[in-house]
Amino acid sequence: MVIRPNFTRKLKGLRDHFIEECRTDVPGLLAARTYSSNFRNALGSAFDEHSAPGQGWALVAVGGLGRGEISFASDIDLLFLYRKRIPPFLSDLVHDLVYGLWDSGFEVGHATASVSMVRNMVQSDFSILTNYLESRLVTGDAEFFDEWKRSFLKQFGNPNRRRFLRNLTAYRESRLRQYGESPYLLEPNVKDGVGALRDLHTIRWAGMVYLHDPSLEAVLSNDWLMPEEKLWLDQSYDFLWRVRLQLHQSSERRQDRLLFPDQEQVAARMGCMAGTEGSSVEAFMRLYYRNTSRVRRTTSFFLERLEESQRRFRGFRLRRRIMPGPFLLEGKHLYIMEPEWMKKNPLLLMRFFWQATRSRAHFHHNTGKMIRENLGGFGERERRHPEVVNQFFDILLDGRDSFRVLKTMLETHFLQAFIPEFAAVRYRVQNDVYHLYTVDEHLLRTVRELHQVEAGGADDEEPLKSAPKLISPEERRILYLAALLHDIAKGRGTDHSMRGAAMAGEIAARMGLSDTQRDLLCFLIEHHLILAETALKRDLMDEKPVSRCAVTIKNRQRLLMLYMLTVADSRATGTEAWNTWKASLVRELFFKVDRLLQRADLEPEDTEARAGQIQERVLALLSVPAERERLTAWMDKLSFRYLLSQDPHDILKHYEMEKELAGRSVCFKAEPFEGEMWQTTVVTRDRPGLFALITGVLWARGLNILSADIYTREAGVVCDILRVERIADPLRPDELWGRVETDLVRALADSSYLDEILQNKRRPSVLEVKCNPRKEDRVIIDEEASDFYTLIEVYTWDRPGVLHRITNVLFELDITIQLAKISTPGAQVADIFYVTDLSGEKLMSRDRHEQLREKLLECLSVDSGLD
Amino acid sequence: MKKIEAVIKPFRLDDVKEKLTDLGIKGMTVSEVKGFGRQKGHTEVYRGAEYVVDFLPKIKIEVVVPDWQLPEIVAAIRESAITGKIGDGKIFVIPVEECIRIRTGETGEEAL
Repeated sequence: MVIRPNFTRKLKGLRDHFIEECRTDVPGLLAARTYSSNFRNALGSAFDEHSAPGQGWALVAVGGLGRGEISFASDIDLLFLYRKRIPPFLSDLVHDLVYGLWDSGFEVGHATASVSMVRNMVQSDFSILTNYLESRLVTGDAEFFDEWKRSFLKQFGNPNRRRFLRNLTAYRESRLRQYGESPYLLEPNVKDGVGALRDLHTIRWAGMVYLHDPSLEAVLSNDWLMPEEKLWLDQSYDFLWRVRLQLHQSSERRQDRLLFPDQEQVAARMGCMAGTEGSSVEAFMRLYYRNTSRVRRTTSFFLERLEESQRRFRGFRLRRRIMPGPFLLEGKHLYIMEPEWMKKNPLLLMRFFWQATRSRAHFHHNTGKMIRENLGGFGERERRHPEVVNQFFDILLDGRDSFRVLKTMLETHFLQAFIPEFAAVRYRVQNDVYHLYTVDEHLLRTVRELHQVEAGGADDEEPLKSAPKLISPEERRILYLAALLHDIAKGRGTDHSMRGAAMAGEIAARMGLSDTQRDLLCFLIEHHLILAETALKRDLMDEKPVSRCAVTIKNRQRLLMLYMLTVADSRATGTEAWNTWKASLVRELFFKVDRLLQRADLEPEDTEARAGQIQERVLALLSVPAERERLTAWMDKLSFRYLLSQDPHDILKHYEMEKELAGRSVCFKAEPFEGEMWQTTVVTRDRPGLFALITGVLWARGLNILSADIYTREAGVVCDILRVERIADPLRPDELWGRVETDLVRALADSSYLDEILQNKRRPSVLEVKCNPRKEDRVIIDEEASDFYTLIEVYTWDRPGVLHRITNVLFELDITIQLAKISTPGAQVADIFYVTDLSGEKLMSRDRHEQLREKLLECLSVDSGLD
Repeated sequence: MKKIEAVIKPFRLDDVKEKLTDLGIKGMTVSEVKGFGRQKGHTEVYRGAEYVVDFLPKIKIEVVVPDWQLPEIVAAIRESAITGKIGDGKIFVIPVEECIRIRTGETGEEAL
């Protein structure tokens, strides 16, 4: 007990010194290695002070310490190894050392085991095996340790090596699956993530098993790595360690996930500056992804080469076929036999990828190197060559293999040799939780989604059924090219659609497309957001935005192509960007525009006649003839907007609800809508601030409001139709709706009740600490978009009760909300309100606009709901 | 520091334990408990006679974690214990005033 403090004082000193050093950026790998070796030495000498040199035992560093690279926050993995029986003095010492380390705040992972116990442990657990592969003697019997290590490595005869390699590949694949899933992409793990340090360890472990040497040099001399690849790995190894040390430093613990707030910290500490690459975080993350994607790729190639060199029957030949050009198809892999040919004839580059698509072939791991080395000859002449362009379209339009082949084209830099504009979007990060992928990845994914959208059309999905009839093969080519290029101008300043269209014009000219084709391409790219923007932010019952779309789009072919592009684009953005709600809005807009285009004249329909027809249909639904007169009188007072936007069944239902209102303050109904969404209807007598009250109640019950239609009747009755989602307990919705109704009744009767339930809900939860990147709040006021209403668009970040706060400000400013559309893509909120003043007129005054904007921004800047 | 008490379905225990050890918790206490919640037990027939099983067997997990780790631990327990059916259990979060390691007398988060 007494000696313990001495044991660890020096170690603690070392650690504190290293933490201090890491306050600024340090040379990553070198620092981790130096600290590790100092630590090992200090540990050894501390141990020696208390032990007599003995035989048959050894204190062994394994895991990170054995590898010789640790951070100040890393686990200290130790193995106390003895021959057969543990020497009695050792067990006391182990006890003292481990306790001493614990008490000084080190994380210790230790095992005390005999040689045969280690053998069993290693056989039964792959992670123990990899942990023990790289081991170093800290102190003890050096001869005994060497002997053990030799025999440990000797167990890998050929069969064991093969099994090891199989296990290693499987382990890596399961890791990539786990960390390749969505949230890990935006907040990647520096240690276990895709292309992170674990991949480099994988190479080292394989080096240990096959060459008894973990260094990249050894692997290089065996031709399992190319010199260029080794250089990359060296650089990335260092980079990842720099990031990891800074991450541990700034988070003050062993946290290996680069969370959003940490990204900002680490970016600053590593000297990334805002500039051409966007914000400093975006610049840093772009660098990060560039490194990890190289590591991921190179590790895959390494494992493939290793596997190939270890094939059991090396004499056994796979089926070989010589393909046109210098290509050889062996089994499933396509090789380049004579890379020199590509120098003489750079056209072969595209031909190679085309051939791979045609024969559904995999790429050989040396492909990348051969392609990259021969890119120099591929210039302007080749880019314009019709054969090259045609082959490119064949690849792009291939439903099965386009994504895979394009991805290889991207990774080998051939895609940016063919389309130089692509270079600028490589690894480009968009720092929000909405875009899951870097821009280049998103573009390739859009192509893949488009293939799937098109395939879905074969299953009679409504708008797509007519696709094969409407869209000619020529147009189809352009559609796919538009999918690949639609975001090409991202990162070049505002309005990437316009800029992208201009860039696409040049690309089209280079590819030798006809004028019509070029115009179509530019059109699709320039307007690739029009359907999504209109559907999500405009009232689709209003003729104006719909006819605006129709005027811009002009014909049904283009509408259909835009629709397909919109769906593919949204699906390729991330899971949060596309849901049933958005799908139904975009589909609704599609049909409205389509109907308008089919009618071929853009004159608005005769609303009065249509409203009359609807009234007839409502009357037909009535079962009690005696009510006819009252219903007719009631309907005559309804607005056209209401009549034209509601289903006759719903109109009748609202009529019934209004009748029920006679004896109570509010009438509430909830019914399931599409998917997991519900439609709620509130009928009550109008009063100031009613809408803010309703949104408050719904929010307090945990519901997320998607849209709201507000219809005010002449008699001072209001009918609000709100679509909501996130029902907490889908098994018992009735309980929830019962509570909502009670809340509404009580809140209408007593204004302090709402404050009370809001206060309850606002209570900060210990569980919410997540911090997402924020964009500046924006308020846009638009008088042009609608003939009858002023539009207010509010963009802000999502937080509890934000809608209630906004509606409350509008109420305080005497603004009446007629319709609201709310979308929450990722953590951003886009709220659109159709409003009038109290007398039902548009606002139409600059002063009011300014006042409104100011008040709204003010209410948003009050931080979160915790005030 | 917060104490998390989670009452879960017994067969989810292995999943929960695995998830939590991955997140690097330092220790946990598990006990077999009986109780009922909204599902209020269920009725069974034994030798022709109907009787009510009042209490259902559950597993209670107790973990004490530093505040910063709370959200991810709670999320992990929820993710691994959820089946979407009635009787999935509950998670309680309780503030912990102090923590003392008996052997050393260390206090606070150090002692976790």
